[in-house]
Amino acid sequence: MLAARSHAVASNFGLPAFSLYLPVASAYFTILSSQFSVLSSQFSVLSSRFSVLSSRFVFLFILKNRKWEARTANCFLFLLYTMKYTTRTLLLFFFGCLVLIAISCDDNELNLSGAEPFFKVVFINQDSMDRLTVRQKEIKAAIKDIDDSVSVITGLIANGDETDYSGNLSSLKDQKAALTKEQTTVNNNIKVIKSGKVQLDRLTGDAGESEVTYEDSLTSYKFPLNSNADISRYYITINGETYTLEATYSRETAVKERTVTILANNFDITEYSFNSIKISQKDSTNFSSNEAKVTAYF
Amino acid sequence: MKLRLLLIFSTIFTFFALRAFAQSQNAVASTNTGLSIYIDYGKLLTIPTDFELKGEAGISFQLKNRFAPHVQLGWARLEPGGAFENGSYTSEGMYARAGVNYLLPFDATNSFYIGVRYARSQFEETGSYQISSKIWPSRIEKYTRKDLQADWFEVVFGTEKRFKQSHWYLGGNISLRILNNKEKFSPIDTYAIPGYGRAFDQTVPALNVYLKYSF
Repeated sequence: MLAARSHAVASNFGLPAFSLYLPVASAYFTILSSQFSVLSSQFSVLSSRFSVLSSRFVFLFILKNRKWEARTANCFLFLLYTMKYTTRTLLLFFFGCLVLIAISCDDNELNLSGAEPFFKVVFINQDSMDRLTVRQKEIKAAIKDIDDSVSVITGLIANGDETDYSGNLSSLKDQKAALTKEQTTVNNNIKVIKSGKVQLDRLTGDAGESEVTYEDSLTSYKFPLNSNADISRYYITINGETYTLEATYSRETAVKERTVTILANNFDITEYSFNSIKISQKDSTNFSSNEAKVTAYF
Repeated sequence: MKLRLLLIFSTIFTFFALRAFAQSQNAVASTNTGLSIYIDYGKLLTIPTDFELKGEAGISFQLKNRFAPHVQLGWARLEPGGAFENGSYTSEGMYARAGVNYLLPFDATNSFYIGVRYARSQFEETGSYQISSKIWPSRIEKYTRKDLQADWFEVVFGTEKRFKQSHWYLGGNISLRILNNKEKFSPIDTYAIPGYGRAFDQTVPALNVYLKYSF
């Protein structure tokens, strides 16, 4: 009975044109997928000779004699009918996959960045900072003296002193304006130094193979560690003066997001020619260099 | 997980649906018993590509009770460009599959089958990576691992179409490969297994197309 109905549906459809085959095949898979949920919850469907499935219909638009015709078909029989073309569907799908793979497999160029270990360095010009801090205090005191003088003169005038202090007051006002301007400059310079914005002239490694020169000031620098050794020694030139810095670590190879990387753990600064060094480490377990920030005061 | 459930339910559904239909089609469909050899022509299409080179052929014997034990042998050289961003990788080796299919004839020329297989691969892999630096010498490392082995199981759903009045069949199947055992390496683990695919996926879907000659 089922077979007879299937053949009846097949003969009604006729052979679909090739252009129709793909949408028909995709419709078949869509229908197949939509029935899985029915099956997962209703296995009784199978035992009752697909009564649920056979009650469902699918609408088809087929090309016959150069005219589109709308048809309805029993869902299950349609499914079985279209299964005849599964071999060709798989074939088409296979070629589709092959084309997609071929397109996606363009020449893969090596991406060599981001695989080496590093640590961040901030440079603070402590000498300049100290000088500026002293000057900042001097300016503050001078402004206070001027304010006091202005208060005294204002008091004298208020008490009936008829002396002409206008020249003094004008002079004090000009001095205060000049000091305030200088104070703003000093404060800004302190702010810049505190941010660590310093321009390095040159950075070289102990291997001396190559060097990096910088054209702009940066607030922090990313120093690469030597992936071939457990120690990296740097020569850093700032304002024509060269400083040294030595870091030690233990290397570990890891694969992160399809990139083979070298991690540097147990990171520490063992030697330096700066005035002082401060290390802040976020990673308190492995002491990874990538999480470390070194502040160098010079 | 949802995909796996979908595949399991679809396989169960397809099996019951086709079995019921095949029983009603007994008058139309017939099963050709005997020896068959087949070649996976889809794998031959990888010859012009530069990312993999594969070859696979098999032999099967169709029994009267619709079961068809079969054996497949294959060779593959995989060079997935995406294995390492900063390196290259090659995996090369032989593999063999053995299993049994259960045939579900659809009509005089079309049939379906489901099957299970056990597969084993013996291969070697080579890889290299480079870590470059602006101030330090580049680090270039290479590694080679030989005599590696891996095995897996496969659940297969396939279909065949017989060319009219001939011994030739055109077929295709989709399968789910379930990795059973492979050696693990740290920090750089095996990326691809010939015959299986990407080694870091515990289950891998696959699609094969073949041309079969039945004696």
